[in-house]
Amino acid sequence: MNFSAFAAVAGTSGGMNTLILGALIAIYMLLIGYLGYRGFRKTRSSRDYLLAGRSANPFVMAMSYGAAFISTSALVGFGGIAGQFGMGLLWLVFMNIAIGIVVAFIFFGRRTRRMGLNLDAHTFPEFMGNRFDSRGLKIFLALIIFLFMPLYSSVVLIGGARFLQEVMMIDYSWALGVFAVVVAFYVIFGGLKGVMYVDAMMGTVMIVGMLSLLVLCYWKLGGVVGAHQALTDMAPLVAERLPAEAALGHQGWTCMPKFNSVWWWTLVSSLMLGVGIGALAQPQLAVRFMTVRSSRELNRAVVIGSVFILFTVGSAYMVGALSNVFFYYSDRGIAEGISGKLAIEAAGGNPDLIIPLFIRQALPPVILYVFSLTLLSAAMSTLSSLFHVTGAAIGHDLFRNLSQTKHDSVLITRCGVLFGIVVSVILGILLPPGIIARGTAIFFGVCAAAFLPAYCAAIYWRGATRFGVWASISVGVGVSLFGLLFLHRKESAALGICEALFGRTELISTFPWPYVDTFVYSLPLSVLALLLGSWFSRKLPAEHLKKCFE
Amino acid sequence: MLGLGDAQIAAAMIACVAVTLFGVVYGIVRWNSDNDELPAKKARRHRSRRRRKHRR
Repeated sequence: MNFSAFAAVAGTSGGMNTLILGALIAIYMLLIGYLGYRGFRKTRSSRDYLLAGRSANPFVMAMSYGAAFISTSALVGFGGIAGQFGMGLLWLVFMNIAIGIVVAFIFFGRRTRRMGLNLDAHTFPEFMGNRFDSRGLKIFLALIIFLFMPLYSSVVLIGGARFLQEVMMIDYSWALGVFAVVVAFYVIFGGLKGVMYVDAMMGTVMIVGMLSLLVLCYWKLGGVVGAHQALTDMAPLVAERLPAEAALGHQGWTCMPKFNSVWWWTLVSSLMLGVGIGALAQPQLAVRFMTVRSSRELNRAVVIGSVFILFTVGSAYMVGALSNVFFYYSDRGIAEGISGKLAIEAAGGNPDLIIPLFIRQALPPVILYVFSLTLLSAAMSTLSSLFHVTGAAIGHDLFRNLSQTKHDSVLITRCGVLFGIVVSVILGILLPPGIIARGTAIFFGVCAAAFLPAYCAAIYWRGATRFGVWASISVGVGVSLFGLLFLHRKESAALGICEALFGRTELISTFPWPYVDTFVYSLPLSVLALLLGSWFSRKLPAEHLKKCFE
Repeated sequence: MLGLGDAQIAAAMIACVAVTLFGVVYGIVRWNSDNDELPAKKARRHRSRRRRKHRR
């Protein structure tokens, strides 16, 4: 758990004063309460509750999109992975900005906004269902969100609760309850307006926290070029100190892993493609495009979104990689007891500890407070978006369509949000963290392969048919699950179904298949199913298409 | 370059800054634009309209 790791490190260092941090968190919670209340006051209809009245400010929209996009694991978890893999993760930053912001806002955002307005869609399942004139599709997509999203929410929820538990020294159950209640308060009452206002504040805190971390890191390590050169000069240490990693393709922290090695496949297929492209198909992000009044707001949001991602994830990955220089060269009393170690050695083999350790050892204590708020912000903003989209799927899409209710009530959606939160809290209590982490991987894999081709076709291809989209989503979900259960070693070994059925951890052991992310084959197959299904099935009526694309 | 040992990493760093700059410039240039068409496409359409008018 990234959060508990950070709290444990910060707590044992004595670098943080619980009273000061408690006061800061209390002020922070009051601000959240105020913004949630503002959202509540301005929420009068379902359109307000689900789409922030379709009139969100571009700054609020972009910060909310970014804050929902970047969770704690992106900052601390992936920052720690950069401490292991090195700066190759900068390609993920590029993908996050290029695909997650520029392509998403310019090529997906405008059409989603316009089409969403034409079809009077309030949620992602409703958007897809109305586009393909299929109530079944609406229900099916809402079910996928309802079944898989709470697993991901639980990971973030548990992380936040562990952080409060360690830092505020309260019982875990209480911490879980407090964290869930605070987020529930502004999601249930404030709706998407409350969520976006709070996200905008949290996004600002995240930018300030991560940017100050990067600047102080370079200052501590002797400037940009000096720090990079020192890290480059450490490359021979890989073979000497990390022979296992070297065998997997590690060549140094300022080099890409060896081509076609295990690490290369992990970096390129899982991190760059899986995470980078997968962001396009996240329902909680896609719905943000429908919250603005015109494409003018989306153009303005591109500016803010690009800068946000560069400063937050870019800083985290740079600091993670450069922490190796600090830990190795810190022999002048900067960090007693850990001099001469590589980052992963200093962190005892746990990459989650690399960023917190670096902050504790290298930077002034005030950064610990800023970073604590940054982590809380990253967790709460992601969690609130997940709660909102899950609740909307339950209340607005599932309940209304299954019960054939025409009446669209904010109350039903609020009940759906509450139900989604309760499910996530129960999962957070019942399931062990390892299983939940696998659940997250499953959710991301399934989401990308299931939603992306269909979503892309919905906004760009008039020839896409209802059957083609059903085929694409079914193939995407099916192949992803098959790959996770029987092919991709990381998940198949952890889930154990392949082992139980066939006596081995994966069906194909020939390199590189156990390391190739399911996304690499499930996405093309899902696209193929969409094309074939659409060519051999009845087209949608021209009138309907005209309404969608006008 | 920039003290980095691998051209691919330097390229990644430059690409990150370049794509951010693209986003910033794009957003600023189209700050008040509410047209869903891309500027190049719009300019092409405008030019072809003018040509047709001229021919008439």
